[in-house]
Amino acid sequence: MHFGILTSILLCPVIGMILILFTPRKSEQAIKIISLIVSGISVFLSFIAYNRFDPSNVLLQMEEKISWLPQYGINYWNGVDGLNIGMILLTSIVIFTGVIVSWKLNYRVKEFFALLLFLVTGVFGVFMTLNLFFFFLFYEVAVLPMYLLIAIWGSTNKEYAALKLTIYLLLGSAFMFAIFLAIYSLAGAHTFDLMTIKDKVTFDPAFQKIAYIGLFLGCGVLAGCWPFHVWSPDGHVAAPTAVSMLHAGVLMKLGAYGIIRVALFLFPQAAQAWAPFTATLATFNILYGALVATQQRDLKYVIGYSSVSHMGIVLLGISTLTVTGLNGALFQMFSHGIMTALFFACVGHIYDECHTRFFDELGGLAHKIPILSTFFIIAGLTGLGLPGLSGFPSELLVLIAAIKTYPISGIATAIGVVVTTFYVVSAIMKAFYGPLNKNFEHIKDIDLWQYFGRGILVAFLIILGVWPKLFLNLVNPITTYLLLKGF
Amino acid sequence: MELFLIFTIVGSPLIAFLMIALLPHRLKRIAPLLSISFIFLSFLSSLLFFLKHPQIQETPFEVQWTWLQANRNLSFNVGFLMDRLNLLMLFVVSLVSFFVQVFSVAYMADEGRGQSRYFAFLSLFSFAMINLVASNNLLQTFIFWELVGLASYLLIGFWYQKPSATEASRKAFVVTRLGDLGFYLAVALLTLHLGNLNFSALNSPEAIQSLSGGMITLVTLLIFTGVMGKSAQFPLHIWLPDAMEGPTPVSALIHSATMVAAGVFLTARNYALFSASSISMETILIFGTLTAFVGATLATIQNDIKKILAYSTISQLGMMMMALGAGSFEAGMFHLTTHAFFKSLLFLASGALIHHFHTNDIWEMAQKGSRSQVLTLLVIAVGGLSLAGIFPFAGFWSKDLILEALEHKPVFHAAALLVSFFTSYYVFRLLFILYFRSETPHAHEEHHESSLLTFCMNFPLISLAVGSLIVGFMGTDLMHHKLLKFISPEAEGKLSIELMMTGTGIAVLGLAVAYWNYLKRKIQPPITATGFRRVLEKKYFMDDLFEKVFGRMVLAFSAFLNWFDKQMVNGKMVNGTAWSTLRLGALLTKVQSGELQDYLMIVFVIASAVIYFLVK
Amino acid sequence: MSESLIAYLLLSGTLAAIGVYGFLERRNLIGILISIELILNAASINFLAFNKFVSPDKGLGQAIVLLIIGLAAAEATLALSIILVLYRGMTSINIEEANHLKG
Repeated sequence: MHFGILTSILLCPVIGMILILFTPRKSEQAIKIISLIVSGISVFLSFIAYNRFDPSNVLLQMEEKISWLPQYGINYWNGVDGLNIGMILLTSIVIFTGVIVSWKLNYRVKEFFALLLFLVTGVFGVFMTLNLFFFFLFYEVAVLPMYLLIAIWGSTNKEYAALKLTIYLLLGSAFMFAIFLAIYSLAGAHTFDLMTIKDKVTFDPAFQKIAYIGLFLGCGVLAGCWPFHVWSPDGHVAAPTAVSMLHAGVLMKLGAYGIIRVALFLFPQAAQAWAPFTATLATFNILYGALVATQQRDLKYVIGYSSVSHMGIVLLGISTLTVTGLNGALFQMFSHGIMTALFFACVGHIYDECHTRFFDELGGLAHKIPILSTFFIIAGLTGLGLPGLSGFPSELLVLIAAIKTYPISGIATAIGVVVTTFYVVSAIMKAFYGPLNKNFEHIKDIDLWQYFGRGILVAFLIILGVWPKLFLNLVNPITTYLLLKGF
Repeated sequence: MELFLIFTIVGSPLIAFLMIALLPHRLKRIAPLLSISFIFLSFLSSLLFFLKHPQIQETPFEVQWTWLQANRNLSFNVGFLMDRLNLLMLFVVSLVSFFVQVFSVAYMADEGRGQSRYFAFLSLFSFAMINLVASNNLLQTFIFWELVGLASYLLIGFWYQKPSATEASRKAFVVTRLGDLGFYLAVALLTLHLGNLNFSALNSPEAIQSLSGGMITLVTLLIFTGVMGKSAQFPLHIWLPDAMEGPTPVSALIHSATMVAAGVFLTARNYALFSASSISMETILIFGTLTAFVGATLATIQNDIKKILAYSTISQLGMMMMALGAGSFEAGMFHLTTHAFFKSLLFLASGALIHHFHTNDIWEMAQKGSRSQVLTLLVIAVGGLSLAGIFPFAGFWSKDLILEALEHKPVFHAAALLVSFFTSYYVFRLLFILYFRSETPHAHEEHHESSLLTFCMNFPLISLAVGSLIVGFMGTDLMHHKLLKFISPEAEGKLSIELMMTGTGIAVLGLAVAYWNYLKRKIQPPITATGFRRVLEKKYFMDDLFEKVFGRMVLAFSAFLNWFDKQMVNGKMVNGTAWSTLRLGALLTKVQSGELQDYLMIVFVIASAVIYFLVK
Repeated sequence: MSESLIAYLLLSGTLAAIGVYGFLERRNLIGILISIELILNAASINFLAFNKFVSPDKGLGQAIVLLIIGLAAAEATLALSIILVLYRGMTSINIEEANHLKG
């Protein structure tokens, strides 16, 4: 084992948080710079990990194992393969841009950044750990700071949304933990190590069925699976900009990742049995989210429901249980993460300047903030699956996989694309086009620094859209291996 | 070398787009120059390519790379195919783009800072269109098909301050995306069943044999829905008239000459596949006929010059589809080519009028003295006569070829004749109103523009007028069917005298009726809406059908879902759970009386019971 | 009669019953305290009685009773001081008024 790069990535936000705790409350600039530096380092390290990662090797790489409570099979065991290397990269990019976007924050700065970094620690942890106990632990670490972040720094009905979100996510995690414990006790190996369980244990088919659907729904809550999605639009709307970015961009992917990493990984046969059911739920997600989004008047609600719709594509891709579909799902996770982060980063600026997010009060913003409008439109076009941007390859892959296995879901996906076009274009039309509202004569466009932050996200959308191989090469070997070798 | 040429052809508009987008503010003025020179470069390269490979039909040139690996066995490619069909389209697209961009310099001169945005979008469009034409597989075509739609959306909504323009751009985008739904599904289905989307593979006999007949019909019909959206076929034509909200040169380029022809091109591209299903061919023929008829009749009552041309475009696109549906692929492509020239000419000329008179209404133009614009009216006459199919203008030859293709289908043949009657009628109506009903202009209102701008406006008009004369002859015996042979070496292109006579006769009939109505009876603009005219003014209720019926149905359903989400899922289920938890808690707190002795009593009773049961 | 175990148990039982009754029914805190003393005393009597008639080790019961007496004294001090504080706060030692923990 060489230099523990994964642990280093994980430690970046922890160190940042500790440093911030020892920084005087008044030096806000220093706090922001510390957060920027640590998140910058985590981006850098993630890129090193990405670079060092060998996609053709389907085994775990860069493993780090420290036994922690070996009597109970709890080990600190990290490793990456094609499934999570992209997610780690995504997390570090989103937190980095999230810190940049929060640059103007001036209320309780110290607590905000400390909590934000704490949250990211949890997210990194979930993505890299291979031990169910740590999976759960990091998951809780990722969820709990969210409550404070939304309830203190949020807007629009924030206490309600924060409470709802927390309760929902904890409910999901309670499901998850119950199943983890069942796996632990039934496995007989008395270990939480995912790989050991995978290799050594065969489960009773009846148990597999229960465990799979329990995990699917438990993680599905976080992934915004219909009908457990209602926390997400409310939560996204209430959360402050950086938190919305992390939340929709990364946290929802935790759920989908959990489904792939644990549920699909341990119980492939049960996945087969439940696939029609989960595909139906996913289809509901896609159409329901898109149709409800057409009715929203608040920009953030539109994005919130569009996330529900887009996560449906991820879930559908998983449910097809084909290499193509799984590749598409993983790609969509990455692409959607970047896209929603960009969306929320743009809406955050609009809200800061105009103090409203309602279409009817906005209008003609493109006159005053052309650059930001361009960014928003690019995000919107990604959302509606325009070729050349990263939304298209992912949707295409899922569509092809779905047409084969579940034709109706496939058609629904395609219809969802049309509905998405309608609401995205309508939102753009109402908020950015038309005559300028008199109240907004004074608003300013983003400065160079903010331009840089959002520009990173745009660059990713375009690069991956034009050259999807960059991402698919990472995931293709492992999905092929998992699905064809029968997990 | 070939590769380099191809990259120059497909890449130079992209370079122009990127350069304009990234230009610093001070240099934005050179945007038109960049855009024009790069599109010209593209045109030159395609010409050069053709000169180097005159025998391209026998040995098409194809290159490709892997773009996306879906799984072990399935990958998507990017690649370029060069054969006669797309070389022809490349010429048309890059040439018309070039002229339109030159014209735009004059037309958009007052736009100021928006000018660079305009030229950036135009370059983006040219990039997408050229790549659509040059691509060697269906998926890549779909990709650029969508990007073309995006460029069209951006350009229709170019004046984004105008609510009507943004509405129109939204309508165009959503309606074409609705059509693309089918195309998207067709791509997915073909991927599943063939695994290879290259045009050469799709249209090979083996592929057609390996697919079942039903599947071919399904797939071709699905592709055709995409074609309907983009090529404005009935009933998805509704976006095209509204798209006239965009700047006029844009209408000339995108909404008449190139983008809307993409559907025709796509059908021609997959002609072997389409021909394999007689149901699809019949469908294309029927929808083409409907479109041609609807467009031509609607054009007869418009007063907005751009709307006349827009409906005429719809009608002509219908004619092209009719030719394709009737099995004459070369007639369709030939008409596409001639139409591209004379219709962009007409649009640009109308743009010149609009620029001069600041109105779209032909009656107002006549009032303000349209007769003074001699050159413009002259080119409108050239374009119009061509559109009406008058000998010896370009439209005459191509239309006759279509009529010939329809010869063995009497119903459709009659319909095509009817359409040409209406066409000739609205063309002469336009000409008569603009010239003979024009007032004498006030001389002092003349304002002189700089000579460069005048040149920019007149040069494309004259070139296109000349071009639309020549291009017609290229399909005739006089020039040995050069163009026809270019499209398809087997093309016969014999024109029978009887057909020519009928065609001309019908056109003259249209002329006569227009003459009677507008010069003899001197009909004035607003005519009372009665009967058929009412239907026409309602645009055959198609807009209403889509907006009021489908649109509202979907929105009402969404509103229901929204209500369901807010009230049932969120209200009853989620908040209901929360509320009942709270109520249950409140109920249980009643036990908590605060009276010490009540608690003690409970403890005592329970303790006694426990002891009793333990001891017993 | 005085030599049988039953008599002692009857006495202690009665005392305990009176204590429990008072404990549950008195509204005066002092009364409750006295009732608790009664219960404790009943327990002491039980211990002594069993010690005398049943247990082989004669010292153990007495030791426990001494412990109970000590405990009762400590308990009385504590309780009385709580009652005093309560009285200062509420100017009443009626238990029905001390119900601030009501839900």
